[in-house]
Amino acid sequence: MKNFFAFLSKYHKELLAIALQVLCLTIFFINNSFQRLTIISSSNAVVGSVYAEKNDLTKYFNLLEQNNKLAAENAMLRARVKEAYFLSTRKNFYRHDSTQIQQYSFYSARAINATTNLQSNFITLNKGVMQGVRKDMGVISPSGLVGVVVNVSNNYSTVLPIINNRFTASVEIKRTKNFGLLKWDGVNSRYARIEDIANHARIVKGDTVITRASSAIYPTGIMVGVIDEIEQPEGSNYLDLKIRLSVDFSKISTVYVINNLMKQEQLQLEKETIIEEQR
Amino acid sequence: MRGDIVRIFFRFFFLILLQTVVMNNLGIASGLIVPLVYPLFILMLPLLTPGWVVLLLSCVLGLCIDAFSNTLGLHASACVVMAYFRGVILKGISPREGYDITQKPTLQSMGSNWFMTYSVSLVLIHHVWIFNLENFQFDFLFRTQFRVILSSMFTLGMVYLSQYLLYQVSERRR
Repeated sequence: MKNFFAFLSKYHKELLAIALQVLCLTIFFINNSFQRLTIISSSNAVVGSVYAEKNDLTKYFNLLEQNNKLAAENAMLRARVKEAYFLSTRKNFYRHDSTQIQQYSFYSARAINATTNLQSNFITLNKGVMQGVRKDMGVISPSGLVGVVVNVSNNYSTVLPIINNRFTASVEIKRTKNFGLLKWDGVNSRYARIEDIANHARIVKGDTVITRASSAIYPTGIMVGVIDEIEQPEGSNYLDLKIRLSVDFSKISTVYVINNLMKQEQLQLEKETIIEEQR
Repeated sequence: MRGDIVRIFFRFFFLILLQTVVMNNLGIASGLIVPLVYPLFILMLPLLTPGWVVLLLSCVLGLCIDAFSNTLGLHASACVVMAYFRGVILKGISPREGYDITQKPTLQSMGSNWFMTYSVSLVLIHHVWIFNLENFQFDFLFRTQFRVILSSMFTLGMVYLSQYLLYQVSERRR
């Protein structure tokens, strides 16, 4: 026992140093491995008040940096407001009725760009593949036929409108049921022509022209325009009809993209029929 | 004696504030130099302070620095090592007749050779310990030793500056 106390008194510094070192290293490694020991850290009241005083002194030194940070944050928040967003929901309206099968559904879209003064005009819509728009879907506006989707990207699509010299569509005269081919002559964006209506058809000025479902793109009965001029060329069996389009392409904004749910079925059947006929 | 104790406590709080409020915010040479001034407290403790008092005071000092720096245990550990080796080195470089109650561990009191051995060795021990414990991996080993050397030079510069600024005046007055 005497030796033990002698040992203690001789090596008390070393023992104390080792004990303190073990303590320090223990809390150091605990602190590094786990959450900070909050007992003695900057959350402590004394430390906190000292830092608050220090902050009062030093907060003016980094005003420039703070301003830059706030500006960056403003930019970030600006990017989050509604106006910066592209509405990407699929607005697709269905009706459920067991006695009827829905054939067409509609996506609303906005024409964000349209040309009217070229020979090959196009319209750009703010809906694309992500919103359900596909190639060869019909496009109408509240006032009538617009055209057909020819190209789609993820969020945009381009429409080939009536006023493009590559556009054709099968249309009929609502009253007489005569049908012909709608084309644009490239002269005036308010007028188009209808070919292939036989000259025995009793068509008068002011007759309504509507779409036909023959190409599986548009439903029947979409307004196209009204007959404006009827000409009967010499020696021809067909009438030359000039129609006034119901859609003013220079003012186009809201449009609907038509999704024909039975398009595949119709096209498949027609294709099979053609193949069988050729045998 | 009482004046000494008051002075020691004043020095304790002053160095903690200087270290945490000023020095911890200085980034010199992109982190290569970490300015540490508080080892001056351990260096300046009276020569005849009992070893256990030095150890306990150093440990408390280190913990205070840690509390401000959110590095719990790191500075305390280095301070304990430094405090232990302070006793060893003081014994090793003591004059033949031992230390006198009137002597202080200052440049003016003990002479430049003694003071250089004392301060350089203790600051190096402290810095080697703290930087390697902080790093605690073999990556960046070379860079860590580089930081030790540069930071030690900075600390020693502060130590010598304090000697010329504070103690020379009091020596002259005497």
